[in-house]
Amino acid sequence: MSTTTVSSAHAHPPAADKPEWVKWLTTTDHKKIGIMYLVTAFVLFMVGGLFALLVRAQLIVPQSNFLSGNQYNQMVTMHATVMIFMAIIPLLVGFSNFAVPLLIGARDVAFPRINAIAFWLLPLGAVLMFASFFVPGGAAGGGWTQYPPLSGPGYSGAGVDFWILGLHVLGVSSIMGGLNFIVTILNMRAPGMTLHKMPLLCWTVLVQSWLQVIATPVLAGVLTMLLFDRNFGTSFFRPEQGGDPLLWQHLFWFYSHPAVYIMILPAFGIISEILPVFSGKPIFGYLAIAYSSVAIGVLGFVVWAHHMFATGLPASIRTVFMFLTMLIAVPTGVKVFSWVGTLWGGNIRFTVASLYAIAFVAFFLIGGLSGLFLASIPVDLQLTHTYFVVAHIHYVLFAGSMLGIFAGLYYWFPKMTGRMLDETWGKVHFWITITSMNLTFFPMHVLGIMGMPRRYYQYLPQFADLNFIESVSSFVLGVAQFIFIANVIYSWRKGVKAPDDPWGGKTLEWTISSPPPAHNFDEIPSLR
Amino acid sequence: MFFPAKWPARAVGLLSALLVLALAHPAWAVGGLNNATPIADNVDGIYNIIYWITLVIFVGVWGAMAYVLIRYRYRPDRQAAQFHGSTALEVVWTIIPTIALIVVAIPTYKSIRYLENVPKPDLTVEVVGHQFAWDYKYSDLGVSLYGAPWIEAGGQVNKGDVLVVPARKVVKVLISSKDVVHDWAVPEFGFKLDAIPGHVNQGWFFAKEEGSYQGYCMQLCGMSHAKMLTEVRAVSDAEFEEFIKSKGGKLAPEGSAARAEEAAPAAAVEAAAEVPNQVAAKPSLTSEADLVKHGAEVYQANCASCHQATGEGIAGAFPPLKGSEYTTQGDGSEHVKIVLKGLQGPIKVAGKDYNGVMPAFPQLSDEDIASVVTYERRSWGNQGSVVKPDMVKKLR
Repeated sequence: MSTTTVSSAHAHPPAADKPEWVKWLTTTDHKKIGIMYLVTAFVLFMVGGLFALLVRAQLIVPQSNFLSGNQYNQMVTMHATVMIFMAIIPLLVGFSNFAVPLLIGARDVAFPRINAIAFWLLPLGAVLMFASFFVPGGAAGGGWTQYPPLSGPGYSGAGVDFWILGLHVLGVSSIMGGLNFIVTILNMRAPGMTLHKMPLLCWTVLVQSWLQVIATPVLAGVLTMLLFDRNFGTSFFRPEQGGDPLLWQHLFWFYSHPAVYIMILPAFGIISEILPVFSGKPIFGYLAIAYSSVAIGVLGFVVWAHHMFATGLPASIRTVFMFLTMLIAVPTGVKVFSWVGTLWGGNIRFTVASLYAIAFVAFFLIGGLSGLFLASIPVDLQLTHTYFVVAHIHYVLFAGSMLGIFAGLYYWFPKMTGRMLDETWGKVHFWITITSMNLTFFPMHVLGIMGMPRRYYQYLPQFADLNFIESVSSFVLGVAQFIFIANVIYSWRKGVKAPDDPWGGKTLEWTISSPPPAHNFDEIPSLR
Repeated sequence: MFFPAKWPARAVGLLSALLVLALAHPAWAVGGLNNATPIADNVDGIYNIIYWITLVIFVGVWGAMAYVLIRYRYRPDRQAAQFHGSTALEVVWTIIPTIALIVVAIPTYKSIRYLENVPKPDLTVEVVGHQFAWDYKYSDLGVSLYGAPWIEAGGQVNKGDVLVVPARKVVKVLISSKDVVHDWAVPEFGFKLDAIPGHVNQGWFFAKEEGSYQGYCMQLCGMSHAKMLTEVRAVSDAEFEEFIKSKGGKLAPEGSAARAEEAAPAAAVEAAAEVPNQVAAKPSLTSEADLVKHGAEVYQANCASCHQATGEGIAGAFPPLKGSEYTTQGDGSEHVKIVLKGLQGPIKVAGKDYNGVMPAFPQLSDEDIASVVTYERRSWGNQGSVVKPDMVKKLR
């Protein structure tokens, strides 16, 4: 088992000879790669957040000319693109990198070099994406869904080509990462760790990895078709030559609906690791959580057309997709109830990590329930394309994924760095984030019910009050993240030294030093 | 190290109580929208079923969490219970949501059938989206309205053309697009359908009362997406008749509704097939006379709704082309560029300030653009230069 890391260490001069930064840049150590993923993706999260704040600044009054229509569309598009592909997904991949080999008692992932390449594709993709701001016509402005013909030839500039190529690079990274973790989880678990004894984060990462491997190639295909339509005269999506814009929507959502689960499943896993530790109890319904993750992953592939209820698809087809979509509520409900069951009867410690995990359950619930409205076709026809959808996706991806990510960051920071994050400043960060998050996103439900369309850079006066509240709250939300950044920078250098197991954790990573040695385990642990 | 602070638990309790109160507020259940059609009533009914189910789940989960967080908060002397689950509970909370879903699914299914089955229409209207306005065609009545983007200038709103329909009549709409994907939505009608080039989508509504209803384009369609507003005005039969006459159309004789329905889809398909050029391009136009003749058609289809047939525009909103610097000076290349790429921001035309949005028309052919530019430069007393298709090709 130890030969992989030993041989790769021998292939280079002894590590001690190199300066620290060279060691980081050339590392194949899953822990360092995981930390680099987290740092890079968090920086990109702040960039995506800046785009969002520019959008909110434009919307603070109804008829603002702070941004032009084109600039606004570019900000909306790049905000979503950055957050999905360069912030949330890589942040979660950062956790899988750091934690999964430790959780299963392995010395590294199965393919450490592929792991390193997959990481380095992230900054490359980001450079391609941001370069698009400097081409004629600016960055892509067709929304992250990039529906043709608007994204096709004649209606948008070279920014879309950069967007396509950037996503291709990020997609390759995603497929590499997915394969790596499938192989790692299936083959490198410690002796005696059967699938049914594996920590739940590993289950969710396993399902996520399958989604990445199956769905991402479809995205690559549809992106290539658009690239050809734009540059080489094909007409997959050009109606004037027999193409069909709806084909894009089917293929795009065949990837992008599973993509939502790619962005939420590992967060489910993180929560399922943290809640038992701080309630001092085993997880409630281990198998139910594990297999409901599998069910969500499978169902995720057969619901894509619920994004297309307003496109005029035949009623019979829409009805089938509606019923399948509603079914997803069952495994999701099982999870939420199981988490509440995990807290029940416990002895709950309110650390920042557990506060974020609890807040995840409380507020992700809202995103789940609003999904029920959107699943029902007649109600969806009323609410789709409005701010209700924006509210729904932000309760899933911010109140869900991001709160899960913060929970994970506060939880594993001591193991990553050997120092504790400051709990008091952590709580300040928590309460400001939770309050401003709800004030930013909750009123969007109401705006949607009132009929305010998405992606409008100027709007009618009846929507002004709630937009003002949202914009001001979003600025608070943005500024509050600097508390977290300052906490991380300070604690990493001067924080209280962390013991091996500061939380009373039950999983394998807490049995070794903080930070762990490069080879993780002196002796591979056995669960037999 | 882990102080058993009470305040987070209390704050969670307080926050949850506030949120539950806020969610239960009846104004949010109805959303403040007036249900102007039977479809909207229908949607509202299903909305309310889902609202109450989700509220019960929400209050249940938050109530349980608030109880747990307060009751089981950290005490140094407490032992956490050690159990791994409960099969009975897990079965219950799988079955109960399933039943709730069936409760939602049955009326939803009925509603879908209701929405889908278009009753025999009293009037059929074709709705055609293009960057950044809606055209409305009453083919059976011989009336076409060419929409214009909404422009707010100096406190005045220019609404372009609005869709006028008779109240208390079944109106069937056939929706398509000339360029990119749009979406025609009237929230108070519970109506929303994408306008997709190459497709014709159909829906219907029945306005219960006379009135004006706000409509929107709800699918991102480019830089002036937010200006692609519209309005549906439901009027009495007499007013509708007057409106049709004022637009040069005539009401079909009694009993012709069925025949009209047969003819209408064909007309809408034609509209969809016009993609992307509104007027069939005529190749090799070179003489000034030919250019002006063809240009007049292109102008009528694309430009007249804002700049008016007289070329005088609308003061404060759409600049005039008659006597404008842009249409009379230079070799016409600037003029062509504006048609090709659009124009946005403050400009001065004939001594007056304008700050609107001129959409780009890259979908028009070189011949169409040369023709329309020449028409604009040689009409209404303008003495600008003639522009040939070659110049457009170079500038494209």
